[in-house]
Order: sequence, then C-alpha cells, then structure tokens
Amino acid sequence: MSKFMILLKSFNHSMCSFFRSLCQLLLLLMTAIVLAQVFFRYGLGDALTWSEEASRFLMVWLTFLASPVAYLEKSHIALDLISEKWGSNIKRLINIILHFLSLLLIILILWKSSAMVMRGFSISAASLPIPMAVAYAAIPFGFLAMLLINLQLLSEELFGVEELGES
Amino acid sequence: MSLLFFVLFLVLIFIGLPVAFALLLGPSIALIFEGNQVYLDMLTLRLYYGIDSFPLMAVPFFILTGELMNSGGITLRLVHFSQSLVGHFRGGLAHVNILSSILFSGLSGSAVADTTGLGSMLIPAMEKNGYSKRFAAAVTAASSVIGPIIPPSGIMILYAFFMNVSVGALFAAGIVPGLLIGCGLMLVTHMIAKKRNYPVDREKFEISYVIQSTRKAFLPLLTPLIILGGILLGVFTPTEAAAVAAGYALFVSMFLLKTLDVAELRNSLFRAARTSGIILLMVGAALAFSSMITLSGVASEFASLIFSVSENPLVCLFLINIFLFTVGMFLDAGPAILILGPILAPSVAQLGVEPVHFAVVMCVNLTIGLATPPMGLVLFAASGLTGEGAEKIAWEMAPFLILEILVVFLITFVPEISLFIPKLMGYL
Repeated sequence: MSKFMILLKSFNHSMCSFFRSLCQLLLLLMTAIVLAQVFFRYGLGDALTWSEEASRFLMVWLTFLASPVAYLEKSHIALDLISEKWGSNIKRLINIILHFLSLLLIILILWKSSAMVMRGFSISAASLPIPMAVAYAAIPFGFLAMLLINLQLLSEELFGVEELGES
Repeated sequence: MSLLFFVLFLVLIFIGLPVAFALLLGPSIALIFEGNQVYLDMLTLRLYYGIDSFPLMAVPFFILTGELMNSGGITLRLVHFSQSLVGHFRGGLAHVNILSSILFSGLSGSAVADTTGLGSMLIPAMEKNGYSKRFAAAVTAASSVIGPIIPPSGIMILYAFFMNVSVGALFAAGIVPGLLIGCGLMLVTHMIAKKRNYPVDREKFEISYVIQSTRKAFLPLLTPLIILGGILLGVFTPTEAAAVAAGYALFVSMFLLKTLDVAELRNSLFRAARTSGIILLMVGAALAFSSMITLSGVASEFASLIFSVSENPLVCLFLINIFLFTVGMFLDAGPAILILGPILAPSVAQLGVEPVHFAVVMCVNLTIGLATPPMGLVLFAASGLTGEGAEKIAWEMAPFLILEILVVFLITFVPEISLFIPKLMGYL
C-alpha cells in the first residue's frame, strides 16, 4: 500500500509541475491571440475570424489544468469554520468525509463529461477546423487529474503522510 | 423541483467543501434523489459553457495585469508618487498607504494583491516610523477594498457576465464610490493621526519632488487610462482592453522599466493562471447551479419573503444590505455574487431599482466583507504579513469599517453618486 502511495504522490507532483508550466504558456498564448485580434482589426483593417474561439478554448483548458494544481495546494476557496479547537479527531473525521464527498463528485463529473466528449466528436467548432470534443475534453482531463490527487489526499488523511525520498 | 439542492449546498459549504465543488455536488445529489436524469446530464454542459465565454476572459487578463504591475519596482514608484503628494500630512505614511491603494486599484482588480503588494512594502516602513504594527495592518486592509471598487474590477466583470449588465456601465459606476471610500478613509486617518500624534513622512510639500516622482510613475499610471478610455470610448471590448493592459504591463515592466525578469514573469503568469483557474471553475459551477435556482423558483420565493416585510424599496434595500454584510462576513465577494446575484437581482429589479445601481451597491458591500472577521481574505493577508491576530487587526480597523459601511448606505440611498458617470457616458 505504502509503495503505491509513494508512487502516486511522486506522479502527482511531476504532473502538477508540468501543468504549472503549461498554464503559463496557455495564458501567454491567450494574451497574444487577443492582442493579435486587436492589431488585425485596427492595424490591418482585417478582423481575424478564429481568434475569439481559439482564445476561449485555451481558457477552458487553462481552467482545468490550473484546478488540479490548486486542488493539490488546497487553494480552492472554502469556508473554514470547523477549527482545530473542536479536537483533532473531529477535524480529521470531517476532512475524510470531505475527501469522500469530493471523490463522489469527481467520479460523477468524470462520467458525465466523458459522455459529453463522445457526443462532442460529431459537433464541429464554429470557426476552427476541429470538433468541440477537443475543448470538451478539458473537463474529464482535469477531473481525472483531480481524481489522482483526491486519492493521494484521502489516503494521506487515512493512513498518514508518506514522505518522498530526495531522489 | 424542491429546494433540496440549496439546503445540501449550504450544508456542504458549512462543513468546508470547496465552494466550486459544493455548487456542483448539491444539485447532483438532489437530482439523483429526484431521479432527474435529464438535468443531471446537462450539468457538465452548463459547467463547460459557463467557462467558454469571451467576456469572461477579461478576468484572467486583469489578474495578470495586476500580477505584472505588482512586481516590486512598479509598486515602489507608485508609493513614491503618493509620498510626494500626501507625505507631508500628519500620519503621512498612513495617507500614503491609502492613496497608493487608490492608484493601485486602477491597475489591478483584486483586493488581496493590493494588500500583499503594498502591505509588504508599507507596513515595515510604518513600523519603523513609529506606528503600531496593528494600525499599519488595519490601514492596509481597510484601504485594499478600494481595489475591486475602482475599475478594473474582477468581481464587477463576474456580476456583469452573470446578470447581463454592461461592464462599461458598471466600471463607470464604481469610480465615484471608490474615490469616496478613499477620501473617507483619509479623513478618519487624519483624525486618528491627530489624536495619537503620528509623525509626518516628509517635512514639507515640494513641487520638484512631485515632478520627479510623477515622471517615474507616469508609465504605470497610464494603464487605467488605457483600460477605461478604451472601454468607455468603445475602442475595445472589455476583454480586449484587459488583454491590451496585460500586454502593456508586460512591455513596460520587462523592457522599459526592467522591473521584471523571466523568472519573475513565469511566477506572475502561474499565479495569475492559478487564481483564474480557481475563479473560472467556480464561475462554471455557479452557472450550472444558477440554472437550478431559476428552475426551482428560489428567487421568487426570496422576493416574496422580502416583500412580505415591506414593499418600500428603501426599506428593502436596507434589509438586503444588512443581509449582504452578514454573508460578506463569511463568504468572499466572488462566490457571494455568483450565488446570490441570480437570487437578489431579479427581486430588486421588481422594486424598480436601476440594475446598475444595485450592482454597484452589491459589489461594494460584499467587497467590504473581504476585510471583516471571521472570514476575510484581505484581513487574513494582512494578518499573515504582520503576524498580528486577525481579530486584533479587526478591532483597530473598526473606525475605518464604520466609515465604509456608512458609504455603502450613502450610495444605496443616493443613486446619483454611482449613476452620475454612467449617465454622462450615455450608458443609462
């Protein structure tokens, strides 16, 4: 069990640092595309037809790449009303319940959004020569990453934190 | 459709599930219980189309602009500029803190960036100058809430996107209330500084120093003009203006002022991406949630609840403000707008209140909530910077908070304060 946990933890770690770099690139690209849109309209008097949709798709992917990273860092916005004062056991119990509830949601969204991607193969995007499935796929992709992170957080809460070796 | 989804949602956020998850899980569980397969299938589609939106893209761009402008060098130039103007007043650095917040609010749309950026620079300086740490933190936190009130503003873009109000009109309407809070805070500071005999920061007002510091702060200070001018004159859409601002901030900080290197650029890009991801996921989830609100009739039940107390718009607005203050004590402005906007806005529209007016009241009210205990992002940021307890800072902040609450009631009952500029610009 613990070997699996260490593997999972180091995989999540590498995955999120890859997502971090990817997010930077996507945001820079989004900015460049919208700036190009402004430049073409005013500078060249020739409006781009694809820029709006391309930047929107990038933003959707950005959202579902940044969300797992934020999930691992525990920086999604949440109320923090149940304090340690109630006792560390109660706090731990609540955390385990929260991770199970998150797991439930992640599986549900993963299932429903995968079906949506399947339907999306036959819907073409408005201006780009790709099916909508390419954009829809960001949701199951992001939630799959969150599933892995959830399993790590849940097992850490249940069995304690496994320290990663310095290799 | 019953109200089960709403009750579940409340329970889930109270035990501490992330708001974005609770917005999706509450309806999901309710729909599974009610056997409503059709709506369950639509949930992910709504989640997707809540994010796939061009107007919404202004949010990541403005966050990026704020991050780029928050790099040490530019913040310092704004602080020097403020020092040259108000440093000679009694309580000089406290005034500088407030004026810098006002200036910074034109560059960024978030309050927390303002607290951490200005606070990390001004709180140590204020301490060295003889202010208590607690007072320095209180001034920083209280003035940070100006950030999302003076345009550009992340939460106003969210409001506009969700409730179909013009972003330009909302931005224009935020200017005067934001300045009003800024001036009010300086007045309160003036009284406290006199009583406690706080020091001045500069011996006297020097026009040569003003010119010198203006020259150094000129390029960053041009940003709000580009944003507002571009939007209000109809040159750019808000999203394009935000991208231009981000591009301009990148160009100025990297190539002209050289306050930003590649490593810091990557950090800024990632921080902006992470914050955007957190907000956008919540927006998508909130859009899925709000379709449940529409279907279930929560909004009309809430409206009849208010109207049962009184049908007088002024009384209703007063009660709604009290309600929003209470919510704001626990919830951040962004999620509060996403959850309550679809419930409150239609009810208030029935009373004949101008939508833009109510939008400003709601945004300002909830923004002040960022600085109030027990849950306040700005308060926590100030506490984290100084190591002082959040409650102690909150007590020190009391006079500032009272002033801010008075301003909320003022703009509630005198609509012209916020509607004057949008009318001038031809939005209303």
